[in-house]
Amino acid sequence: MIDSAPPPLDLQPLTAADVMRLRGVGFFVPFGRETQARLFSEARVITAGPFRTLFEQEEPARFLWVVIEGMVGLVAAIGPGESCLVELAGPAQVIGEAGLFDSRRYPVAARAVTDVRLALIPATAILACIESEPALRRHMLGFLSGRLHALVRQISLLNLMSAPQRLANFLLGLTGRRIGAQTVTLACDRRVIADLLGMTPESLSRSLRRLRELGVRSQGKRTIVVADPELLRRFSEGEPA
Amino acid sequence: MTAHAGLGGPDFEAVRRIPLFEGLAEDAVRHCTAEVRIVGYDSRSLILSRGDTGDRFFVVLTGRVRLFVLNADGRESVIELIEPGRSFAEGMMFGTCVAPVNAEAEAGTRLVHLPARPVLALIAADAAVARSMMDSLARWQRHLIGRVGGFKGRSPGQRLAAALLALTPSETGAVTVSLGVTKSRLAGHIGITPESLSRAMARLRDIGVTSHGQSVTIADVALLRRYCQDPEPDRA
Repeated sequence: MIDSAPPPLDLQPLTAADVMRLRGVGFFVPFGRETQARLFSEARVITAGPFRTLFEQEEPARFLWVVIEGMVGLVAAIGPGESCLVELAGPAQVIGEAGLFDSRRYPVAARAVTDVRLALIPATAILACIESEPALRRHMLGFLSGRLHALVRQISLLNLMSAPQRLANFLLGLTGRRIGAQTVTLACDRRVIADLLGMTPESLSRSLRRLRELGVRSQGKRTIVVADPELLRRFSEGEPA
Repeated sequence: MTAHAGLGGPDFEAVRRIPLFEGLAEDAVRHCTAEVRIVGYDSRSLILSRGDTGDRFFVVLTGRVRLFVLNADGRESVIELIEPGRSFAEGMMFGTCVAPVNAEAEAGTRLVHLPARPVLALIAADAAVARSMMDSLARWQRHLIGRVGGFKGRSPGQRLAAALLALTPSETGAVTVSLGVTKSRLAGHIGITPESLSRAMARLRDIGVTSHGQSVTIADVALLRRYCQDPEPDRA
């Protein structure tokens, strides 16, 4: 996916509404109101449409990014001309933080999946906070440790689960831990979801058909009804349903 | 349960190689591990319950620890399996002090219990040590991202195996599946050439996969699943 010389991203100051949203983002809570205000005054927002590249893999990391609206795909190159989706990030998720450290380059590329709005916090501003405040060092270490656990979990899911099980697990992630029938909305194209789950779109369709007998029904392109999340959970964990 | 204080040579080396400590000088790791205890669990044991407060984190030396939550009806849902050489509950140490999940050690597991205090004191006193830890965690993040990609960037044989497995809900035993498309279409779907598909099909014959037109018989689904994950275990 190569953009033919896209215009540079248009960086705008944050609106009051953006600031309100960012204050509620879990990552920023430990920074406290004063430090938040300083960080957000240096931040900028951008908006972009689907498929727009936000940053490239191995690009020097100048910002920490926060999704305000929409879905962003984090994509890693796996060979010449081939790449895979590592993660989908939605509202309130922080991305690109690994680029603040070590090689100071982003380990993945980020592309807009839907229309998106993101805040960009200068890397230097975040690093200055970490340098001066021990509590924020702890916070950042906890955040980075959590990321490693999430990746280990994702790798084991990809390795151990069959395609229908991976889909079941993904749907359960969307229903959360609520019980009883749930309706979930897919924020992006099914092709993107297939890619995320390491399967072809055809395999995704077959998996969806397989899950029909467990009470999973599609309603149109973007809506899926899960009649009994518990049944689905048992299936995703490998028990005979 | 048996417990003793202090880390011997090989155990110290294992702790030194966890992602959090990997970038640190030896004396910094000695400082962080000065007050550890090694605990052996003879039988399955609950290490942490969700909501427990704690001032330590753990490294698995041998055995395995299962992180899980309980669903609304009291059933267990596994979050992650922690293998030897890996740590868990760092989040509890760095942030909340509250365990977000339950942790249970398998019988025969040996764990290092690392009190948070010396680690947090070092991080507070020395910004450079904290940065080394962050650098190391970022390096590991990059490595694991590569492994996610590695799974998706499979060989033609593995892609074919994965495509065949996607056609059957069976986990074990023999099955016959119908491709539903011609082999050249299948090749297109999994992103390889028709020639490459023929070669991949020939390779899978060794593990009991035979085809006749669009009908493919898999002698042992479990074997194919293992191949899909690791095509050459003997040479690994």
